[in-house]
Amino acid sequence: MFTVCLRYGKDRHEAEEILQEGFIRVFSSLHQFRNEGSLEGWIRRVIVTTALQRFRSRPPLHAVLTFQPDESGGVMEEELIESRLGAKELLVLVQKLPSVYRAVFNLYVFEGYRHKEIAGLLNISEGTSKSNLYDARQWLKEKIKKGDHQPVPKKKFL
Amino acid sequence: MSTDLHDIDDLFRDGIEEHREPVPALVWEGISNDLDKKQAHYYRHKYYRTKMAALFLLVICLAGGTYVAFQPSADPGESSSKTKSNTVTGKPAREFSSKSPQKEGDQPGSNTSKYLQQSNTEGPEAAVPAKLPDANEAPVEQSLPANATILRAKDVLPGITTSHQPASAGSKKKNLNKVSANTSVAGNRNVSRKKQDNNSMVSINPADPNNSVKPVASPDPGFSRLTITPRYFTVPVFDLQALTATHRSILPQSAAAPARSGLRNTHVFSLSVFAAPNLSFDHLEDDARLAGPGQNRQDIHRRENEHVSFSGGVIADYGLTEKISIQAGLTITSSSNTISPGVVYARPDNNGHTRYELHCSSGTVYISPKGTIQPAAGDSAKTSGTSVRLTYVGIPAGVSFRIKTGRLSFYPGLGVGLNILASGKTTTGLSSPNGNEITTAPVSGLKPAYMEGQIGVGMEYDLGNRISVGIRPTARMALTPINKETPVRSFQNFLSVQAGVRLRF
Repeated sequence: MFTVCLRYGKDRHEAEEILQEGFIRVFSSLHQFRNEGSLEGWIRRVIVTTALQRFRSRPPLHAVLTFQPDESGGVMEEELIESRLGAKELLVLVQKLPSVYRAVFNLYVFEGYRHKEIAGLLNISEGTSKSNLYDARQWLKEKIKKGDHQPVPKKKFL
Repeated sequence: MSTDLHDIDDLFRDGIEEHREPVPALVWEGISNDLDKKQAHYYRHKYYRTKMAALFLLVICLAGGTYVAFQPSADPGESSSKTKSNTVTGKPAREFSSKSPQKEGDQPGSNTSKYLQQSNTEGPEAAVPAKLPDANEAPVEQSLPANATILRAKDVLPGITTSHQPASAGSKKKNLNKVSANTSVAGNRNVSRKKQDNNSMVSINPADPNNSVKPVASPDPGFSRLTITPRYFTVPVFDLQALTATHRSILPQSAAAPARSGLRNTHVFSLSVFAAPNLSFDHLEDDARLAGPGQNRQDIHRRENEHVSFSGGVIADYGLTEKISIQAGLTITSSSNTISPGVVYARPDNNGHTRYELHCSSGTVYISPKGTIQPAAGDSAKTSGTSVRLTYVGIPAGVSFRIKTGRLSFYPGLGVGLNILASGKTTTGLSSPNGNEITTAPVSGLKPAYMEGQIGVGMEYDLGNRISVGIRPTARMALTPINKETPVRSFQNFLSVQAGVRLRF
């Protein structure tokens, strides 16, 4: 579950907060578990809900990802990328996504939600969800190709 | 993975999904500490409604018990006055004390015996017609109960008539039994002799062959004994209302009081005007869907301070019976609380306008700065404090049981009330780019009305026949929340002490 929290938090500290809050909610609401599915799945859903509530409680910052095409032509080979990217590096990349992109990417890729469901969960439109997912993918691809994990996406206020 | 990283989803899914990271021990410690606090809080709130229902039942039981305990016990005098018209309950001897003894040689009037013998002994008490003993006649031996006194007929004349007619077989037997029950208690007693009085009420003529009372010779002229045979019987008929009106003093208090209070309390319409300070103790519940960090009951409890609120109104009371009455009326309740200083962020409201958003126990407040610079989404501003004031017009309805002890009366009661929102607004001190300013804004998310249960015990003192003053500690507990679609549901509870004046019509 800590890995789930690491995906939704912007850093390790926030992930620990989500985990703590989520497990408190799990223990407090354990009587609501009706044995209709796996306990692990139920706990995971509670953790994800906790993370999304944190996201909703924040003031709405609309981030815009900017892409700078790599003109040096130094695109890394596929095998090299695969060998260099471990789970920790991938987690760092996901954590560097702006919160709304991170949430959409996590919900779509890891939790298996559809865009309509994501739009309802995050209180955004379906089109925004699709757009955010596309931007997140593009940004991640670029960072992987460049092997650059350091820069933080530029945030803009709408 | 393709060359252009089209399968980036799989790359991340496969790479991260199976990854395991050790959880720092500090996190588990934090969970453990928080759970202890949450468990206590959880169990305190989990059975809130159950506790409220139990409290309701307890007060009802207490009210019922008090009613039963204070209910006047069955008084033999009262029951006898209700069940028979020819009997009168006991009275202190001095009020029925006999006059000077009848002189020897007075004329034995044929219809001149005007004495009523009144018993103070226990058991059925009956007025016994008696004949005045005549010196020329053989002394009459009369059986009287202990502590027997004699009441002059003129003392009770307006309320007493005689029924001199042959009694039916049933009534004759009944009356004879009544007389014999009294006369057989103490055996022969000395009966004080009375003067003859023309205001005769009861006449027993020994010469009348139809009379059932016959003199019996006795060795002592001062003693008399009545021997009654079941033939004809003169029955005194007491009109208790006339007696009460003219000679109230001869009736015991217990016999007279209930009738008086019954007449006064039954089907009495009254109007009460009251004012009350209220002690607020709101109950908050998190909405599982909307609550989150910064928007949950703990945070709101920490930020908000409740103040003493006030209520007032008019209550109409209608007595269904002597003890039970129903009430309905119109009240107004104004409550307030303050929110400590903090930071608010701007975000679009439901209408698309970007305003500063403030969450409180009542709902959400969207604050618009007065100046020309309006906030953009994400802008922040400091508040120097916010006061929230809610005003409700209430329509209470209830039932109460009145227990009266002299001028003082207690009336436990319970009921429900519909509270209609009259106004809900906030005043906020805002430090924005426009400078410091005081802004007012309505509270969003408030329901137009909510229901509450009321329970209380009042104490009232009669200042006169039509006016009384009293106080009534009352618990008002919300049955439904005052808001909806908010992170925190708020139940407004009050403990109020109503003080007022009641006018009876």
